[in-house]
Amino acid sequence: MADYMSILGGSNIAGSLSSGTVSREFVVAENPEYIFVVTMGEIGEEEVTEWRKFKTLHAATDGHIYTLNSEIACEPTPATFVQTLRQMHNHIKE
Amino acid sequence: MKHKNMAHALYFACSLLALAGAALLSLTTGEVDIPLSNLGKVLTNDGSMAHSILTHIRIPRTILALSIGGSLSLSGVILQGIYRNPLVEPYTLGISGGASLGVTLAIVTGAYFLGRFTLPFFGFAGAFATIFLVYILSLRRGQVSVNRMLLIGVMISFISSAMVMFLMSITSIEHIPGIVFWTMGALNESDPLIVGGMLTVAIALLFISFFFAIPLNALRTGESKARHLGINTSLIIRLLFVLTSLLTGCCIAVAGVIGFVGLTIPHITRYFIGTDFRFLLPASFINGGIFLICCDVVSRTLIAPNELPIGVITGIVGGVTFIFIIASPRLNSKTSES
Repeated sequence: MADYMSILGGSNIAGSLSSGTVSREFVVAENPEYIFVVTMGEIGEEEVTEWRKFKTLHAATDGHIYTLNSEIACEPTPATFVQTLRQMHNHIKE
Repeated sequence: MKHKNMAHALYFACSLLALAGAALLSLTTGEVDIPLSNLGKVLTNDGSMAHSILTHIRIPRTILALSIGGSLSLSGVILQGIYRNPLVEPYTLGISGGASLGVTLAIVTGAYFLGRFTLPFFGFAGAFATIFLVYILSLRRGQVSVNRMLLIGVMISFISSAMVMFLMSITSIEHIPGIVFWTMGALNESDPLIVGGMLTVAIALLFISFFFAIPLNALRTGESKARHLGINTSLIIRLLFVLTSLLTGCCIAVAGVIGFVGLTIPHITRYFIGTDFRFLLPASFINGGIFLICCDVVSRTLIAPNELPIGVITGIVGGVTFIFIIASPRLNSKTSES
């Protein structure tokens, strides 16, 4: 994800970490401008709803929480990498 | 006798203080520093980030840790009392295996018809299907065979585990992290309905369990002797089995599989308060709560900002403590009597 972010001119709040799951608190403390939930379907929507509860999060107050298809975002080929990048770019442009 | 009552009162006062201390530690420790002196101010300051963290993350986690830790420990101490076997815990009976299988099925088939309640529902359904199966298979001429129940539970646990591995090997790779994380346990649920519901169930069943303290004390002498003392052992065992299954099913449905709490905490509690179930039941509940709250703090802070699954911490701490108790002859003699 750090690669997608840096190409789009942003930075991943968890970019310096090499492994593991970050806590929800870490994300709230870092207060990102955009949140990309890399899961589709019901679980992805639930996760978006969960993040919207945090009224101090910029991403939540500005409505910048989006879902990405994990099948193309997490297993990128040259074609799907560009596809994900374009999708993220469209969201940021909004 | 008076001296013993004083000792018990002192013990409960100390453990309640320890519980309050653990809860405050949980509320003030984490990625964002919230000093104890500021806790009241943060709670009333609605617009701050710290308030958001406290109300959406730390308070629900602390309540869940208390109710789930307490419930698992209570289930463990009751089951060890029924079976008179110090190795029994809620998960030995295959309950966690059944719940894991239920959740895995939901993830693999993508059956999210209940929204955010889907996985808890399937976990609960899996746990109850297992309990029903174990109970039916343990019946012999209308009587429940306790040893048979234990053996069937262990076998069902193995079968469920194999089925989960089978489903993981044939499903899409994107489903696997969800299954793995669920089986390692988490206290991430923040829905007030689920958190409040879990606390209510835990406290209600703790209250109900008090009515079984005397029969459980009688069962310590053995099923046959308890029957001669006028206890309807068959009915009592059935009711207690339903009660512990309900508690464990709720815990698994909300937080996934968190092992070793129901095994280790009853042993530690017996060391401090003895084997009288009138005191052992509430003391186990409180100690289970303290233990899981502390494990949650460790899981959040040990490798921060990364977070460890709580099942990893309870497994290591619980397992090592258990080995220490078993290896120490003095401690073992005080704790092994169920």
